[in-house]
Amino acid sequence: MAVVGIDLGTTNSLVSVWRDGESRIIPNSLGELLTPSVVSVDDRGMVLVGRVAKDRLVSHPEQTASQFKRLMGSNEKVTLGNRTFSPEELSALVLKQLKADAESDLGEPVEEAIISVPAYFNNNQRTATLHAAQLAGLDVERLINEPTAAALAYGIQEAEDERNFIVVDLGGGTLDVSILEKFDDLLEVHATSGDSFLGGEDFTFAMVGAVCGKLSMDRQALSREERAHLYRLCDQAKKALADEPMVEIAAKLGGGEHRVSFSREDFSQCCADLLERIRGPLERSVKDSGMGRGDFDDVILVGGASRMPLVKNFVGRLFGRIPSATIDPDLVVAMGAAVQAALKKRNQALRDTVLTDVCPFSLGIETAHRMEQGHRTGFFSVLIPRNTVIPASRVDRFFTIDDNQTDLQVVVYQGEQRLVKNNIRIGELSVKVPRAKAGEESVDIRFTYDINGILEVQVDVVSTGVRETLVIQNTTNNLDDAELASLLKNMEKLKFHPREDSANIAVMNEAERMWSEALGEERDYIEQIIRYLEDALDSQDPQRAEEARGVVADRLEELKTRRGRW
Amino acid sequence: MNPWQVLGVEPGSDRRTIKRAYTRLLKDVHPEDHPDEFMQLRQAYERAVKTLDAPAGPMAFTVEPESAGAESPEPFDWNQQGDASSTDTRQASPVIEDAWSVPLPEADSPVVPITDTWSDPGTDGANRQGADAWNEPPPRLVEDEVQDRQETLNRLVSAMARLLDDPDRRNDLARWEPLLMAPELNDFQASTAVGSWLLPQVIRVLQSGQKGCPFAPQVLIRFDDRFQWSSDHSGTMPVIDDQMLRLCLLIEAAKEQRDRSRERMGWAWLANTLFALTGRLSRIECLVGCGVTLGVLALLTGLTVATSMPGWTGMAAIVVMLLMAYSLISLAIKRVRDAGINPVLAFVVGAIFPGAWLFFLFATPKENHRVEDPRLRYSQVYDRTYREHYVADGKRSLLARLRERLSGIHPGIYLTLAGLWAATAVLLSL
Repeated sequence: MAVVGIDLGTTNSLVSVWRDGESRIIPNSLGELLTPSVVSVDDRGMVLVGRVAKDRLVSHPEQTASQFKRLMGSNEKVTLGNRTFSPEELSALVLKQLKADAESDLGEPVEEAIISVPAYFNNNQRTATLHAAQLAGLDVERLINEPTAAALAYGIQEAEDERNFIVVDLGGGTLDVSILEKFDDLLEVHATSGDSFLGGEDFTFAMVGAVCGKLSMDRQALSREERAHLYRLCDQAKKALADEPMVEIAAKLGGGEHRVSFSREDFSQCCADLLERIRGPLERSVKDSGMGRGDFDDVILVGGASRMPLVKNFVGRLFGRIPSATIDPDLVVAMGAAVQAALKKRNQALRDTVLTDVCPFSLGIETAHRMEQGHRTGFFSVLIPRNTVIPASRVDRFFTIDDNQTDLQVVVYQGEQRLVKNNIRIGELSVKVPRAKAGEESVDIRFTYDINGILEVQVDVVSTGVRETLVIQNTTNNLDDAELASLLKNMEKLKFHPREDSANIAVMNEAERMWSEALGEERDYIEQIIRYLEDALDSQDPQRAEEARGVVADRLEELKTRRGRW
Repeated sequence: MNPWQVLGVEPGSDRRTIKRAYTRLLKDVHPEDHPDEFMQLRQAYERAVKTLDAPAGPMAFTVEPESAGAESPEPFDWNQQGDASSTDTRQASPVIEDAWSVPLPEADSPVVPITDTWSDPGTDGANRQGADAWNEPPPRLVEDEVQDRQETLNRLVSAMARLLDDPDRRNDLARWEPLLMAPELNDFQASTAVGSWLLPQVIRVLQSGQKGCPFAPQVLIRFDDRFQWSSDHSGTMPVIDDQMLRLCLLIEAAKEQRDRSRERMGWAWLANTLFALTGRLSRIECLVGCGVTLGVLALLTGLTVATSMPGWTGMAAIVVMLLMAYSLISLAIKRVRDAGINPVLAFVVGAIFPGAWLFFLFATPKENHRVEDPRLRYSQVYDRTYREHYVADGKRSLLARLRERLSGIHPGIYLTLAGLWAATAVLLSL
């Protein structure tokens, strides 16, 4: 039974497997490596995932969701048509699709997977990811940090033995920075930092704002369809700007066509603030690693958004060297996840490679401080500082602060701020202590953080020897069984299109998307095409449907070339 | 535990030997299979490495600022001014120590064909002031340019020093902005060096301050955003020196003040204040809630009695009255729960002795299950800084604080209250 590696991205997701001494990306049913992380529900209540859903972002924005990775770990819900989904469920739908693709490609059932998450994902976000995997019927014991996965992919390839490198992973929705050292067969992570709300989509969004500004339109005043249309255009223009100094955007808004030209200067202007936000995590991780700029042998860029020359140059200027990206930045994380899957299974080819990772956040508890008048509470006392190599275990002693205190409440937080209210609360427990004067009773608190990201908090009361433990795990047990059962039941109710249909649906949805973006004669022409395809599909004759699909795809392609890039 | 024994190397071996031994042993105590043994090995390794180098001090470099009188009146315009008095600056040259005198390794590594890979040809005309990230290539580190950069950095640093020492100008953000965002600081090593130079300088100015903080809150926040002093020293360093701690506290207080003035109280806040829906309730909020509830309740009772309203208006008034009564009870229960009293018990007691509700609402005991961190215990700085800020804030006039508080409330709430009032007035006049 195969173990696959999955890169569950904000924009695109991939699945890969370790075969014959190298990792291989598994193509989806359309033969593509990247599966867009988009979910849509069609009029009959059938669920569409991937490229077949992506085109519906423009034609049916009310029934289509994207970028839900950004909501992971929050309580927000997404409404598609007349159903609400949690971000976990949406991610589970994408994972299910990837699982099906892998199974049909490998010809064997896939039940275990390693999923990559941004290194800077906090405990709640990681838990949500694991829930999604559980809903998709995948057994996930380990999450791997995305930059670590990328480094694995590079590290395995790298012939040289002693190298320090920094991996900057700017994906669709998250930024991660990791500093690693390869020494013999040891791949050691020295420091990790990041921003889980900064990515390529933010650049696109800034560009949409700038384009609206140029057209002197109010973004809020646009309809959802128009917004999605403009967003898609900007996304493509953003990619085109990597090769050309100037692009022209022809947006069909408010019944007419608006043309606006957008140059690199415009782009770098509207993204200046976003670029500035890349600097903080980079500087922090370098500081934490205790290395100087000259110690790095390589700066590696990973993630689709790192293709932007703007980002490349910015990182280049920070380090005074040209960043490299010898492996396709879209694929490298998935490839690394497959390597990790193989490592975990102790694959023969990787027998001797050892990977040590760090915990990206400081872990500690809330404490109070005694002052001349009264007390002040809400301070964060760190037990395991960030960038400690895991597994790690630390112990410290804490005291009571009030007279006759009967219990101590140990509230566990993760984060870097000095006040707990700015950090993230991940659990709490309370222990009884004998009544005594303030400061006479004490407890030893031990934090043990293991390699799977499970934190065990153990509190020993010094005077009585009473021991309380709390296990905070971001494995699946947090979701209680009844809740899980009901979610699984809901998932079962969903209907999916058979895999064979996906090519037909993809073409149909693309045609519909182009129809909604077109005007006048062009629109009539596309409508004819759609009707032709519909007739062929309704005939239930697979031969005829396939022919028609070929014809329609050609026509659409023709139309696209005639209209220019889009 | 003797780290050298665990690693099996001679005491005082060099880094490579230690590392090699560590890597070799790691294969037997794989972190996946033997977490406890791994932790021991890791600890030994970290200890061994620690003996190698005394922790390198921060990249401090000293600057002797020019006497303020001799300098031109526009210190923030450092670039032009630097050109005008360049010879002067070079003589009084601020000395940047070790960090910059060491030639950067890239300078002599020949494998950096930068201009070829940067596709855009128009790099030479790139304008340095504007953050023109498309066209500007990473700095080419040829010897002269290293020299050049060092000089511009020296000028930058001395401009900062002058600004810091000028009590009238140091709180002017507009003067700081071009210095902090200077293109020279795009290189992270330069910005780290300047950041760790600026830190002791800021602390020095703090110490020299007679009373209160000599910096405006927004300037401190800007420094911290740019160089991340507080988050750098918060989590990871358990022992911080008093002055650093004081600076962190001041930054924190500044941020807290900023957040408080940004806080907006909207419908969710009103609903929570009235019905105690979510979260903990502060004593003040509880008081406001009770006041509003009682007021509306009294008004409605008066109305129903006075007019003995018929039909649906009477029904509506009764529904609203019930809601208000419910809100009073829920407020009380909320307080009771926050205080750690069993709510059911409180309800029973309250039903028998109605006076107990008052006690629950306003005199509930404080929670006491807090944990003290001994690492925080001995610093006097806390007390002093706390007084400086929080007590000073308390000294502001009651009116000013009230105005700030009221201006945070959503205008819709005011409008609705006015509407309600008008409606009652109309009803009354009928």
